[in-house]
This record gives sequence, C-alpha cells and structure tokens, in this order.
Amino acid sequence: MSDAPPDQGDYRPEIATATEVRPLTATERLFHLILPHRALGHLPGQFVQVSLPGIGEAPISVSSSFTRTSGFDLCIRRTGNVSEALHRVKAGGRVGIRGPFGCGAPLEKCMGQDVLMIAGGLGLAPLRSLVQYICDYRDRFKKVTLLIGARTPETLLFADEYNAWRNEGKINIEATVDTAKKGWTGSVGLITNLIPQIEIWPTSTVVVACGPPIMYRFVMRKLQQRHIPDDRIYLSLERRMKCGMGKCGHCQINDVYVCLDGPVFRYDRLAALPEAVS
Amino acid sequence: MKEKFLPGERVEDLAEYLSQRYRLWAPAAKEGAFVFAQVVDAGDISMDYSTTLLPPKHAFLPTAEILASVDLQTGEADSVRPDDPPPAIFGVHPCDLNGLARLDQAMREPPADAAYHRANAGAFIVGLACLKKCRPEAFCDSTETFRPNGHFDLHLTPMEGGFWTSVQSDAGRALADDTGLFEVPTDRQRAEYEHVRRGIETTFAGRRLNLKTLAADLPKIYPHRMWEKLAERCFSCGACTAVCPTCVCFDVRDEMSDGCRTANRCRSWDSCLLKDFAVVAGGENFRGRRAERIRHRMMRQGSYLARRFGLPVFCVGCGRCPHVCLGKISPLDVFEQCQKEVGSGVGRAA
Ligand SMILES: Cc1cc2nc3c(=O)[nH]c(=O)nc-3n(C[C@H](O)[C@H](O)[C@H](O)COP(=O)(O)OP(=O)(O)OC[C@H]3O[C@@H](n4cnc5c(N)ncnc54)[C@H](O)[C@@H]3O)c2cc1C
Ligand code: SF4
Ligand code: SF4
Ligand code: FES
Repeated sequence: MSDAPPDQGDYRPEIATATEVRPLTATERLFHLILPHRALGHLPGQFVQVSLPGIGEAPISVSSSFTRTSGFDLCIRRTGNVSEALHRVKAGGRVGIRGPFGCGAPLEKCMGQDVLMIAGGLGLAPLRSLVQYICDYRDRFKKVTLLIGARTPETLLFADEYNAWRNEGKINIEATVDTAKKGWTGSVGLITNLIPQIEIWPTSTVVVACGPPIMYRFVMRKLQQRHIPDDRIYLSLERRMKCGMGKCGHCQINDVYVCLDGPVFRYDRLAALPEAVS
Repeated sequence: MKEKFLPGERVEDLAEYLSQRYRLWAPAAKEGAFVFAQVVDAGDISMDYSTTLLPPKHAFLPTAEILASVDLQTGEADSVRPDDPPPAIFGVHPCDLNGLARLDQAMREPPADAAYHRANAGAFIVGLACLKKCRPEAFCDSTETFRPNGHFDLHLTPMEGGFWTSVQSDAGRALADDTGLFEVPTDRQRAEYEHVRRGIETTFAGRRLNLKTLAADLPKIYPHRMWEKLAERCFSCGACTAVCPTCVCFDVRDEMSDGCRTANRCRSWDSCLLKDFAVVAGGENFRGRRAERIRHRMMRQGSYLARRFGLPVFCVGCGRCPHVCLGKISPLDVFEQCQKEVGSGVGRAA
C-alpha cells in the first residue's frame, strides 16, 4: 500500500537542557531550555509537549519570543503528576521536548493596529511571548495595552518585568488582583472591571485573551459592550492533549483540533463550535 | 488494474507465501465467532467467514504498543520494532477495506504519524468480496462501502472454481508474478465475474441514507432532544468504539519498565465515549455529559471526519457497534432520523 514518508509527527522527544530554573511564585517555575541541534522556531502562542522519561508528557505554552536568546522559556504550574516532577528538575537537568505545535497568535493581523492583551492567571505565560515580540518590534504596532488579573499580588506572574515592558516596550499595563493585603497599590477586583476603563478604538484594535474558560465568558460580554467586532478577538483554549498532531482525538472541539487549528482561535470562528466556550 | 484468476485450491498457498514474508493476519474461527488472528497455519483461515468481532484495525494500530523507549542508563533512545516484518491482512471484506483506508488517511494526514508509518510501511492487503450482507445490522449498502475501494494490493471475488483477482498495486503485481499461483482468466471466467459483480450491485442496492447531504445534515440537529434519549440507553462502556474500524482515538502514556531501567512511551486505544476522555488537569471536563459524548461520536462518524477527509461518510456501515451495544444504538438509525428531521432522507429506495 502507499508508503509516502511522513513529513513529521514523531513521538520521540528531543532532549533539551534546562540552563536556568527560577521560581516565580509558590506554584510556578520558569525554565530556560536549550535544544542541542536547533532553535525551537516557534511563534508567540504556540506550545510544546514537555516530558520526563517514564513519567509523562504535558502541553506547555512557550513563554518567550523567538526574537530573544537561543533557547526558550516555559512557565510551568505545579498541578499534578508531570508538572510536579518537572518542578524537581534543576538547572543543568534534561527534559524531553516535542514541537512546537499549533498555529499561535495572529501577528500579521496585529501589525499596524492597537493591541489589547488580556491575561488571567496562568494566561500571562503564553502572552509573555507576544509581549516580548511586541517589545522587540514595537514600531510595528500602535497602542499596546496589557490587562493582567491574578488572585493575589503574590500570584502575579513576571511582576519584576512589568517596568521594562512599560518603559522600553511602551506598553500600558493594568494589573488587578481579587484580594490584597496592605501595601498593594494597584486595583482590586476582577479583570473584567478594567475593560470599561481603557480607551478602545473598536475597529482598529485586535484583542488577544488567555485565561480560564470562566474568564472568557465575562470578558467577552465586556468586549462586546465596547463594540469590538468578533473577528478582532482571539482566545487561547486549553484541552486535553496527547499526540499534538490531530490524531488522538483528545483535544477535539466539534470538528477542529486545538493542537493543530489552535490553541488560539478567532472568536467569530468559535461561534460555529458550540463545544468551545460553554 | 490487472486481472487474474486464482484457482480455489491455491488460496492456502497464497496465504502460506504471505505468512513467510509478512506478519500475516487472517480471519479464523474462534469460540463460535470469527476474529482476525495472526496465522500460523494457513489451513486455519476461514474464507467463508461472517463479520469478525474486531475489525482488522489492530494489525495496523495495535490495542497497545510501544512508540518509543529510552534506556535510562545509557540515555539511548530506541525506535521500536525495527526488525518486525510489515503486516499483511488476508481476506478483508469491503467494509473493512474502507475502514483500513480511513484509518490510513487519518494517520497519514500531515503531520503524519511517524510511528504508524514506521510500523506499517510495506504492508500488504488482500481483499475478499461479499456476495451477500453478513448480518442484519450491517448497512454497508447505505454507506456505499460494499465495494472495494482500491485500498488493497489484491482483491478476490469468489466464483465458480476459485477467485477472480483484481491486482491493484506494484507489490500485488510482483507477488502475482513471483508466486506463479495465478492464471490468465478465460473469456468464460470474465463473463461469469461480470455476472457476479452485477449480482453484488443488485444485492446491495437498498439505500436508507442520502449520502450527498448527510455530512451537512448532521450539524443541523446538533441541538436536539434525541441525544438525551440516546444517552438514556448508553452505558458509556466504550464497546462501540473498540469494535469500530473507523474509531481511531488513542491514549499515550509514559511508563517505566524493566525495574525503572527503561522508559517507554505507550499508545493504547481510547474511547471518546468514556467519561474522562476530555478531562484536563484541574478536573474540568469538556464533554462531561453522556449525551454530549454520544453526539460527538455520531458527528465524527457522520460528519466531522467525513468532511475533513473529503468522504460522504466516515462510518463504513459494518454493523459491529449496533451488534455489541447493550442499548442497541445504531448509527444508521441516528443518521436516518436526522435526515427525516432535516427533510433530506431517501426513504427506503430501491
Ligand atoms: C495548549 C496548552 C498550553 C498550556 N500551557 C501551559 C503553560 O504554559 N503552563 C502551565 O503550567 N500549564 C499549561 N497548560 C496546562 C498543562 O498542560 C497542564 O497543567 C498539565 O498537563 C498538567 O499535567 P500534570 O501531569 O501535572 O497534571 P495531571 O492532572 O496529573 O495530569 C494531567 C494530564 O496529564 C497526562 N498525564 C499524566 N500522567 C501521564 C503519563 N504517565 N503519561 C502521559 N500523560 C500523562 C494525562 O493525560 C492527564 O490528563 C497548557 C495546556 C494546553 C492544552
Ligand atoms: S456500545 Fe452502546 S452503551 Fe457502550 S458506549 Fe457505545 S453507545 Fe454507549
Ligand atoms: S460506527 Fe459502527 S457501523 Fe459504523 S463503522 Fe463504526 S462500528 Fe461499524
Ligand atoms: S492532541 Fe491529539 S488530536 Fe490534538
């Protein structure tokens, strides 16, 4: 029968070295990884499959832009079997990498436009790669705004980088937390509360949001109140993943595969996918 | 395509020839039913078999297999099964030929599954025509999968004295020349084969589906109470997907073996009917309700995958799932009811 050679799609990981490991919060760690034979060659919004031999594999977004250094960053939250084991990896340790997978954020569409990024919790991990890209090619974009929401000030990710993003990247950053003790000078409340306060030109703004499903429900309502057309809004979706190549069926949402066709989807396209945002 | 005649008494020789060069799978009787088994003795093959319990899918996509493994002491990664001969499947009925073609299409669509490709490169398939419907639940007539579809190397049609043999591929041609088992058909044999072929068309003429619109019709009944009704009959057991030639979902797990000296990446069959299929870390389940899971399977079989691969329907009408389902859930009934609601059905056409 037909024996056309496969163009990619192997399950054997490449072995990357963690050159730097740094705790970000009590539950998140940032890993800087280097592949032996190549640059990862990813776009903002894409993800990799990270594994430890015999332990398991997990999809993790790339947290850095390809415009920075030779390696790449992964920000990993400790939640279960694989991520727990990954948190025990020290600098100099090795992890398996497959990918990059998915089609990433809409860079072309953002060029020459105002960009509004909305990051809920761990959602800042993937968006950081877009933030870095924008900082590195700042003149390709107009007004850039980043809204960040977290449970508490201690759980804010990459807080030590906001100043650089503000000053060098000329990004307008608003961070809010659900609850705060004394000493927090930023806003308190849900991320949705920030949306009515910012200046938005609906027809020249592109929105890229990343956060938990519950956040999308409320964020979408606010964005629609601000008259942003659905075809200018992009959401990044999470699903269970095994293969990363449209085969195993785990990440399927109706007739699309998040691992191939996503994880970033244009909102008007999601309207045809009732399983996407319920 | 070349045509040959295989005298009936030489079937075992053909199987014998294949078993020496391939991992040969063929229909064999087992405990009152039929299965595709790895054949040791060509005499065990049943050429007159009715639908097997499982389709021959497992010859290409084993129920469990190792995709990659690493020796943790040396750090050396291994590709698996490098020395195994490729699989051959003997005596595959048309529904299953169509099933194997769909499996192949799904696994080879770019990005192609490299492990599947490695294990199955050079595989050989011998089809076997059905002259009548094998069981009442089968609906290969409605899905138009009662014809072989070209996804074979050789295809045998039973007739007086032996088998009309269609030779499809270079590998098939080479085998026919090499074995010397085949004869040049006579004009009388050609005429008889034509008669048999027309007989098959007449026997399988009953259509209960309008295949022109099915893939577009199903999404129209996405919100519908029938899914809840079906859910009342479904046990989420996953039997339907296990016996299905075109259900190809799988799980991948990393495991230690050999006293933690070797790390294996293992693939095993999975089922979108099982409760946890779409659960992510943190516990959110994106298809937590049974009705949603049944609907997803029916949509995959009747619409999603059909459209993805440019086919009228993905299900091949083998009838295995209604046969094993405790709740007697049949894709044919679902598809037919859908077309009744949408107003595009054909009724029981002649
Ligand atoms: C596109 C995408 C991007 C993501 N980006 C990030 C990110 O940047 N940072 C982040 O922290 N999280 C991210 N996640 C979530 C992350 O993938 C999960 O938190 C992670 O899978 C948790 O794995 P776990 O094993 O620790 O958790 P568990 O709850 O133990 O397991 C979760 C899943 O891992 C799989 N698994 C467990 N054991 C094994 C095994 N032995 N072999 C194979 N598989 C096994 C299972 O399928 C299970 O469903 C992302 C998810 C997606 C889909
Ligand atoms: S075989 Fe029947 S009962 Fe079992 S999961 Fe499939 S539809 Fe449900
Ligand atoms: S859905 Fe049922 S009838 Fe259709 S191919 Fe699969 S097992 Fe056969
Ligand atoms: S992860 Fe397997 S199909 Fe997407």
